[in-house]
Formats: sequence, structure tokens, C-alpha cells
Amino acid sequence: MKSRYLASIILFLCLCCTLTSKAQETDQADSVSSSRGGNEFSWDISITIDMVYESTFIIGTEKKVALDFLELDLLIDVYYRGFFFQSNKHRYNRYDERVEIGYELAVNENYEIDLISKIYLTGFSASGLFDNGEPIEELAGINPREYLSSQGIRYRRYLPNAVYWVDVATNLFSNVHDGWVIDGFYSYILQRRNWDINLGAGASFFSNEMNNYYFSVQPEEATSSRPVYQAGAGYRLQVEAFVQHPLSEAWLFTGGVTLSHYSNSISDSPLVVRDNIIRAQVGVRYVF
Amino acid sequence: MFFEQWFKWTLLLWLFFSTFQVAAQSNKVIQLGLHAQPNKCVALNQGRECFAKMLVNWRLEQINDYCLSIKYLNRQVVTIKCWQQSIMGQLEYEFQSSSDAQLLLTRSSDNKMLASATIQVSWLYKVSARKRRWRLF
Repeated sequence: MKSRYLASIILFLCLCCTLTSKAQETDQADSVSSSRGGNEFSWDISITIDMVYESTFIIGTEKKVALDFLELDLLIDVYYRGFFFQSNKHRYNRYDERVEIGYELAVNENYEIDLISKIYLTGFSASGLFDNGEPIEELAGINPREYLSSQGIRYRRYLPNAVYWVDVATNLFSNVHDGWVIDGFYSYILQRRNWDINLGAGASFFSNEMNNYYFSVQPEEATSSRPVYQAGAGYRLQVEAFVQHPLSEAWLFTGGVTLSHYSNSISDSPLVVRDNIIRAQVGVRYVF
Repeated sequence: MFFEQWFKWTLLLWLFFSTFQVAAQSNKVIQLGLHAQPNKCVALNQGRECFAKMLVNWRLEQINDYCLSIKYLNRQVVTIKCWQQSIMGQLEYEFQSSSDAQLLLTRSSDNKMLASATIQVSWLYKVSARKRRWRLF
């Protein structure tokens, strides 16, 4: 708990310092430079329709009927005076792991430092990945793992045709666990005519507390086929490739694949099916 | 669950029929004048170079020497191809620009413009306050 309070204080102080310095900058240079766009409002709304194949990660959550492979998502990106709510466009993994809420502490042409809140590991319960699903026999009796956002700081560096970032985040706003995560990703973009080809690789390190919350099996959850398990700290490595191509002024074609490798501390959990997960998807996006 | 399945099927059907409609609209008969197909190029982001392979057709009423040229915004006119003693012509053109351009068909003898066609460059994502900072986006 101490680490959470310490992290909260550091984040609060960072926010206060930056807000003060931003106010001073506005007084001095508001009419000189608008490259930050700090006083502007922008938004994007899009609907995505994807056919998705994903190897099963959590036991019992296999997709069963054809329409389960069709995923619909509403993506809303809003930016106002440094505050943002966005879906990370440099990633092609699950949408719920792409949503980011944050505030720009410092930003220029080369780098950006943000306060960030996002989901690094998705939750699940006895009814699978979503609470409204039907009960799953293999997961019966487990405590729900909530869809929890972690809050922290992101350093993002912009290169000519690439971007990389490192997040350090902890669970500040709930008492569910005290875990923390370090998440880094590098994305390189190739432009071929009207196609964008994104190649990326990343690593996430999950602390003991965070992994235990999601992947341990507590004594009250144990059954004959689900022994007690203590996960401990672990990591996830990912490589990703995806393409984007505009079909019209409103429609975008997307397609790509993400390969994830989980450490033994995660994959050995009775709740987890395998250590290597492949997610391939192809779809279209309507941009409003 | 029923609503979700129903919604997915409705969306798939709508997508299918809107694609069919676009395909039907693209089968136009070439008339007199200068025409480029497609005449619109869509880039992913505002300000990006847009690429398109275009089929350019022209047809006039008199046989003569003609030249096809292109004028990009704030750039000089560039001749693409000339035809001698022709009444019609066709070529595949590799378009590349970040702004609109105009195809011009002129009579070689007096350089008089007889027909034109505009190629419109548009984009899916406009430059927003948040995207502008990165060179690529």
C-alpha cells in the first residue's frame, strides 16, 4: 500500500508542476507557436468490424460459433488541452488493451511524457472474458478478475519513421491489488504507396502482485482439476505486424497479426491454456 | 446475445450491399472529352502523398495533334504524352501528389486547351492537434 501512496504523490506533484509551467508558457508564447496544439480540440470516432482469430489464452474461453469471430468496436479518440482519450493507433492487439486515458505532461517534436491510465491485462470471470457471457464450466467458482486500469507515466519517443514508448504504471484507484507493470513497445512504419505497414515488438513485465491477482489460484478457488497456484512475477513478449489502407474517405482496411509469448509463471497457471498466443485479424473501419 | 448476433448480420448485409452499389456506379460509359478513372485519390492522412494508377481516356470530334499534360498545385504544367493525328487516346498514368491536380488536353498547333479533368486528393484522417507533432502522422 505504501508504494501506491508514494506513486500517487509523485504523479500528483508531476501534474501540479506541469500545469503551472503550462500556464506560464501560455501567457508567454500562446500566439508564437501552436505546434503543440495544446489549445486545440480534436476527435475521431470510428466503428471497426473485424474477423478475428485468436488462440485461447484463458481456459474455457474458446470461440464456438462463426459470429464469435466477428468483433465490433466503437473507437472514440478525444483530445483537449493535453487531455486525451484514445485508442493506441500504433498497436493492433485487443481494443480493450489499446484504450488509453491520459494527460500530456511534456511534449515536443521528439518526445512526449504523459500521465496514463490503461488496462495492461484484461480481466475474466466464471463467465469468461465478459461478465455477460454464459457460465464456463472450466472457470466455475473462480473469483472475478476485474478489468482494471493501471495509472502511471509514459515516455514516448518519436523517430523519423518509428515510435517507441515505455510505461511504468501501478494500480492507484482500487484496492484489488498493489501490482505494477513496466510496458515497452517499438513500432516502425513503412509507407508503400497508400499502404502503411507497421512492424512492432514489445515487452511487458508484471509484478508479483499483479500476476498473482490474474493468474494465481487461491485455495477457495481450487478444485480437483484446478490446483492452488502462486504465479509470481512474469513477463509477456510481443511481436506485431499490421497494415492499413484507405478504401475511401470514410473506410479503412486493416489487417495484421500479433504474437504473444507469456513467461512460465503465467502459462503454468491452471487458468491459462498456453504460453504462445496468436491473434490475427482482418477488417474494415468506418471513420466519421 | 440475440441482439448482438442480429446486429452483426445486419452490418454484414449492409457492407455487402454498399460495396455492390459502389461497384455498379464505377461502370460508366466514356463520353466525349477527357476522363480519368479513378478521378479521386485517397491518402491515409492529410498532407501525405497519394498514389493511384489511373486510366486516362480522351475523345474529341476532330482528328489533330493533341497533348495531355498535368498541372499540380503551385507547380508547372508537365506534358505526359502527345498523339499525332488522333481523335482519341488512352493511357495508364501513375498519379502521385499530396494535393489536387488537373489533367489538360491541348491542341499541339496553338496550345489551346480543349478539355480538362480534375483529380481530387482527399484523406481519411485529417491532421489533428494530437497527430501533428509526429512527422509521419
